[in-house]
Amino acid sequence: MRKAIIFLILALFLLASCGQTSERGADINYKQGFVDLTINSAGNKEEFQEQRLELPVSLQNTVAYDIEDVVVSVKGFDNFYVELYDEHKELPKLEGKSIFNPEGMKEDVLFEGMIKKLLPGAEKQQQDYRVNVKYNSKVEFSPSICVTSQLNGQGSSYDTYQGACTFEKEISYDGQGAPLGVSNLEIIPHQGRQVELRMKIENRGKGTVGKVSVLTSAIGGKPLTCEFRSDTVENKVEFESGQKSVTLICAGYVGSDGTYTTPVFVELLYDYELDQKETMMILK
Amino acid sequence: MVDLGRLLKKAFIVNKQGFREFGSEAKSEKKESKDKSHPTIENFFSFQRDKPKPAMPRESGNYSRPWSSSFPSISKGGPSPRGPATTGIYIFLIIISAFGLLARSFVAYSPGKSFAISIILALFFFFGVRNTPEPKVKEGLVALTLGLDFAAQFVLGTSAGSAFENKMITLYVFAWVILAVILFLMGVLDTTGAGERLGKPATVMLILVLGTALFFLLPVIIQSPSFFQDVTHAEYFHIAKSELVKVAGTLDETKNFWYDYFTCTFSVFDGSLKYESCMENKRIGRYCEANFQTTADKQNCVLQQQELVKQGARPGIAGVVSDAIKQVTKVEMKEDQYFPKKATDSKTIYPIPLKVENPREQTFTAKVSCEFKGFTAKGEEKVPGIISIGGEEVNEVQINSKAQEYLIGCQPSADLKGRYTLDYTVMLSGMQTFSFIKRAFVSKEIDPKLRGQIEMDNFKTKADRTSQGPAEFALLNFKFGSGDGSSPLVTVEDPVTFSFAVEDVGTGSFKGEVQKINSYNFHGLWERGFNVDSEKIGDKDCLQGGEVLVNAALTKKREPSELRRCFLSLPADFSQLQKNAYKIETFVADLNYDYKITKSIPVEVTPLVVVS
Repeated sequence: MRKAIIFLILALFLLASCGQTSERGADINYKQGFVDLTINSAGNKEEFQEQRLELPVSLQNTVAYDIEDVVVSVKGFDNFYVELYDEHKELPKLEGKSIFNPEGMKEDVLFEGMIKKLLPGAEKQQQDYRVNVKYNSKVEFSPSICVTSQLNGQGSSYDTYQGACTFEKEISYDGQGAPLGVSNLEIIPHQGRQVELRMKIENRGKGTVGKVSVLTSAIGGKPLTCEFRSDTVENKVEFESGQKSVTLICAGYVGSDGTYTTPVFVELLYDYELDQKETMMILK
Repeated sequence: MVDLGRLLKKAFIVNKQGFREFGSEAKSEKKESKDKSHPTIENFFSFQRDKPKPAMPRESGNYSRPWSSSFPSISKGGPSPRGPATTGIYIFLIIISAFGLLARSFVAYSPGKSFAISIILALFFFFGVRNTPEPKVKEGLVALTLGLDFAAQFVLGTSAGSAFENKMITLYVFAWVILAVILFLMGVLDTTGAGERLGKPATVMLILVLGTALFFLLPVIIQSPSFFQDVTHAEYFHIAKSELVKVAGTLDETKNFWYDYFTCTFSVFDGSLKYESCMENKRIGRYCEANFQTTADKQNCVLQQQELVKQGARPGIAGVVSDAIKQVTKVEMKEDQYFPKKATDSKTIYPIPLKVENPREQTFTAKVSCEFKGFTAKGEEKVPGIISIGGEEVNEVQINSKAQEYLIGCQPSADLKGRYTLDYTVMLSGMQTFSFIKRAFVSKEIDPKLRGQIEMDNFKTKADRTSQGPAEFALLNFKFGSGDGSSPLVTVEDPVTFSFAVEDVGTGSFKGEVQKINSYNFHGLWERGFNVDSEKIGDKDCLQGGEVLVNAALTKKREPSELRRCFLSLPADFSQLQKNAYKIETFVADLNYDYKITKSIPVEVTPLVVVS
């Protein structure tokens, strides 16, 4: 009898645990934080000369969005010592984290080649190389913000409780589940129902961002007109070497007068490149 | 002319009086005026300042008992060491600085010991000049020299290979001698300016200083009337001179130098005005005369030597010995306990083991010879020796196994008596070595961040940027790339220069010298698709070639002189690199050369006297 009770308790505990996990998976908002793709070079740290080289590289898309046109490369090997048959591998798509795939999609790529002979009299040779991943992806910024059409005498809004919500001129964000994301939003109400949104688009990943363009932008379901604060007036920009952030300015109209909460949706497309340094020792 | 001389003298005195301490002058003059019947005449001689003075604020360095009083006065003008008659101190400082020069050479310019020598020299100079007129100025000069000395040591120690390295070395080596000479000349001016006569030692030293200056300046002055308009000419003279000095040491021709110097200096009066080439041709002529038998060989030698001298003035190419190459060829000759340094048999055999480590199993030959050199009342005596290897009367062995040891015997061909230097010479023919260099090929358009990353990943140390080879006897140094080829990142759009040199890196208990390059092959480059760009100026046999004669002036330098230079065309896969694409590759080259090792051992032969 006692054994049956213990078994029942255990079974109930397991069931409860499983149920909680699935519920937690549904609750988790993956689209938060600044997150990078995970690269794992599973090759041997030591290889012997005049041997076939197999260099498995594992990618896990820990980003909250799908990544597309993925190109994985192995760069930086000294061709005198290592010859790779193919330096680039292409992957069509890697699904991002979601409730159906909480860990993100994982893909293994194998690079093959040949380790050549060491120099006469040499016993070992260290090779530094880099696993490089390039991809295209997107990031969505979809907060609900408090907007107001009431302005003070100077033409700027009151920073006080105005009605249904508290209007804040400037709000900080901790990413949207990708290496690139909006880290700061400035809301500037203008005359009438016009509103200006200034977004700081920041790369807090370890890689470099290439081109960024605005795919969709709307406030309360109404389209926004966006352009990057740069030399160009287009809705796309290219990050320069070492550049970490850019400002996106969007203008639009709110649906009604007064102070109320309304959804904003900005979808950005971007190119991204990430690499990871690896070391291999070639032995005689 | 006489008036001008007197005017100059007066000017000196006025100048000297101008250095006097304000206030003290008036006091002393008041006192002196009481004692002097002809103050104008008396004041003419500056040494009167050294007459006993009443108590007054002590000038720095003016001690009651001068330190320099222990030095003999060389001036005849008066015995006081505080007047201009202190040239003795300056001569002493010249001698001390010369000793300093010798001491530094003796300690091989090791940083710690050189630093200590600099301190000692500075102390001597400080105490010396404090007992001379106008000590402040001279102390300043000493402090400046000490500062320059330290700065030069620091710069040479921390940033070897800088553009000013040669100037720094010159400053570092000669700073104290130059200061001593300057101080001496100031002393001479003081003395003569005060109307005194120089003593004999000072006169001799002055002649020496002026003679040395004339030695270096005369050929330039005669040769280049438009000296200041043609700086390159002056540089050429110095290059030739330095080249000459280097070669002279190697070819043992110093004894002919003075003859050449005077012949060439005065032969310029015939209108040819070619001092450097005159000196160089004389040296080459003697060298080829001594080393080659037939007229054709001698003529060939002259042509090659002239070409080498031209190359000797070319830039150097750095290279380093690689720690990664563990298997290195070693040849060592070292006498053991059985070697008869003192013998009673006048024709005894002198055995010495020849140890060869040949881990890469190269095939080369070792040809051995020996000679006894002695000095007798008749002069130098040279007795050739008869070589035996492993007991057999042969003088040449082929080496091809990993480790071999031979017992070399040298028996004099004539009876010996007395002290000799036994020279064993081993000519290693067909030695093979290799070197390698790593380069990254990038496009001009590459992201600067990536460019930096490539450099950081691949060229962390100075050695990574230069060619490297095993620690053997000769090192094949080469470089190629954009600009002068020193940069490890080759921009594929730019012309690619290539050059190589051979460095003598043989070390051991012997004297060694690269004799000849038999062949060189930069197969790593041409096999990969690099070619000599025939449309641009350069040596056509840049990447592959045969015999090249070299000498110590070209090879025994930290950065040996380049032997060949050309432009290269890149293979297609490199020249087509765009944007952020890059390639990294190591290139290997082979060298076949002859190397001469000389081992010298003193021996003494005392034949037993047979008593009948």
